[in-house]
Amino acid sequence: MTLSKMNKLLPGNGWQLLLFLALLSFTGSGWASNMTADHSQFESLQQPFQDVEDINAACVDCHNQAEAQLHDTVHWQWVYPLDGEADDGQKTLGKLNVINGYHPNVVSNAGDCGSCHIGYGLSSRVTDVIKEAEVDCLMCHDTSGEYFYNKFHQDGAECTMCHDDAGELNKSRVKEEGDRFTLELTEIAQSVGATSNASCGSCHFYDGGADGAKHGDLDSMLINAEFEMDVHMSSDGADLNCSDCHQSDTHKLAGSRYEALSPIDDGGVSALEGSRATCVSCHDDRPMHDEKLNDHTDVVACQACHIPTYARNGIATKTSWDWTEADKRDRQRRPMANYDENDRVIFASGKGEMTYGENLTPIYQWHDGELDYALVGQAINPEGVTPLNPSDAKRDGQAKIFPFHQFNSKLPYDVESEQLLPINLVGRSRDALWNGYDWDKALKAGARAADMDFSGEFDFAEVTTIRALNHTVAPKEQSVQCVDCHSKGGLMASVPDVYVPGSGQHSWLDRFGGLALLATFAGVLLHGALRWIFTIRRNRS
Amino acid sequence: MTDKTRRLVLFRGYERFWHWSQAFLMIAMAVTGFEIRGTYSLFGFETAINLHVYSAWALIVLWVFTIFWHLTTGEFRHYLPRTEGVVKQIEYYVRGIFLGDPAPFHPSEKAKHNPLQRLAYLSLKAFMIPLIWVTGLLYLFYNDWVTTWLVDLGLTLEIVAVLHVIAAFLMLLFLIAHLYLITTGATIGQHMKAMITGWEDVPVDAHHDEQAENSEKT
Repeated sequence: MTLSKMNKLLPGNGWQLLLFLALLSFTGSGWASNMTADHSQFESLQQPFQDVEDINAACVDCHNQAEAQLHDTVHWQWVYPLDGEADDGQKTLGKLNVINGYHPNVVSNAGDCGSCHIGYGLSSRVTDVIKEAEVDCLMCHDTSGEYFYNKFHQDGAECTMCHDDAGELNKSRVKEEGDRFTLELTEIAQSVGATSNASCGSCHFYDGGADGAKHGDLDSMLINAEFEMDVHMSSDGADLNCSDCHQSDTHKLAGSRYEALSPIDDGGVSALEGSRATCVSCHDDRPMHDEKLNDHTDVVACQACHIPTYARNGIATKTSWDWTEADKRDRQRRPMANYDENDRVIFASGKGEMTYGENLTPIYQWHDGELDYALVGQAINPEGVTPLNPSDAKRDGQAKIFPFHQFNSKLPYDVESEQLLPINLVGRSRDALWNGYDWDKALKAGARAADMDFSGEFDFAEVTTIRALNHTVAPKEQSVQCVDCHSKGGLMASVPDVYVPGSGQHSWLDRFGGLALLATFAGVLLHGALRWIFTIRRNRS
Repeated sequence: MTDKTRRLVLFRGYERFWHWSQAFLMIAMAVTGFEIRGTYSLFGFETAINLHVYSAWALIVLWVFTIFWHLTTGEFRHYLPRTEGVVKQIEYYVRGIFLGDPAPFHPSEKAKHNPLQRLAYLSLKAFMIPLIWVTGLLYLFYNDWVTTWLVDLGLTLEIVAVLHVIAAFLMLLFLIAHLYLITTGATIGQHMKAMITGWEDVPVDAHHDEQAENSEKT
């Protein structure tokens, strides 16, 4: 039994799976009891903390290299490559610089976007660099689940960042249920530990305005995932945490979208090469029992078959977001929200119209890990839709066919310069869209903050974003089946440069072949009929 | 047609076993192959692939034995092409067969196939079957050559697949013609009976082809 075979985290493998789970219980899931330090016993944490910043001071008193490490990460800097050191001709990416179709830009909104930053708040306008400062350790290392809740709800974060309707839907629940979170800061400080699905998810599950809204393959159900939802994260499966794949090296986590290695990793990857966060780094590229299936992995990414649908955990993901009518309010000029029958926000003042989907089938296209991310001020395509992260990947021996979630939006652009404009969303002034509900002012303020010229004339452009799907790997029985691709109009129908038997390619061949068969058949029928007729005539005479 | 006939053992045991197992396997390959191509759905894609591949291996084993048999028994001589009698045979199918003329050829130990059959079977064995084999094996082992010099020559899975399907259509054309032509014996069932029982009754005084063959040899 080879290691690669044992590494298959698929169900039904009997003792292999059991053995694997047994191993995991020693390593991953049972970390708490295996830790070499019990933080509740540390004297420096046995004090009545009044201020979260004091907790940080206590942390770095011992972990005296941690802050320097974190300042050198994307999680702190929000730029990629780090320190903005892009090669010549390369863009400097990262949250600070790119524009997307959800909450489109940071720029003048940094103060509120900063509720997800791992520090103690950003200044309201950050366009260049996030200065080194104290790091909020609890943001990731709280294990009580209370810290993020308090941070987001009492730290001045804009409700609308996470709740499309500014939390209206939850207010009655909070009134009814009372305070859910009652721990003292000291208790939180003493229970620090490794990151968890919940701590990572406090930002990564809820971005985009609601649970699961942005990442169709990441939502809060993964905290206690059922096996069908995610074979890796479910306790009935491999029971992995985010950080088991997104491993850290001096607090740098593997698996950034800007370093997407998943499509191009082939074969087992040596641990000496560092963390990979790719399927094959654990599974190899020929992990299946059927060799013909393994033969697919030269052009088909694991994800393409093993994430057959996404947003399938009972939580919808956003499929579109039209900002056009974000300035609309009710008759009393109060912000309003409309809901669909599932209580999803389909319209909100300050945001516009949104649509959702569940159990969605991905789109498939060649992917080599490189997407050309648009930056604030991106020129639009005046002829039609503007892709915000297009790929020019093609079949080249490296790229693989990969599943994506496609997200369509309408974003404001300057009619004259034909550039996408940053929106000034938050703030106390009427220039903030979420305060004044005035597009003209919000765009002027946004452009000013980004040092862009704005003609004053704006319209809304159709843009699309694609998001690679990597999570919510389904049990193997639910993976894409042969016939799903190997049939006419199958899943690969729109993927170029790949011959898929059974998908109806080269239909001319079938037409000519069929005609030849028909002609031959007609020929022998005619010949036989003539023989028969002549025989009858001969017998008569 | 004369009344005097003699019983000739035309197809020996191995030959009949070869013929019928090959017939079964080839039809199985056609049925599953065109399902894989997406022409219809019968077994389901995955099962069709498995049946297709297993049938292919069975056929390959059968053929290895059959090639050996051809060489060791000298049976391959029945498939060496000759031009003599081809025109006569064509004329018979176009004209004589309708008028009730006697068949221009009768099988013998030296030549069990008529000149047109020789050509047809030769093209099957020397062209169609190798084409479908080679393309089929390239298809099956695509991943093992996709990283080699074969790709530099411009060979792609697509080309392999198209050639494989062309070969499959040619074999089907052959099958239709073959099935019809076995009805053109002295009686409709004569040829079929020969392939089942192995023997055929041939006219005693009309096997001039055999004589021709003899005179060639001496």
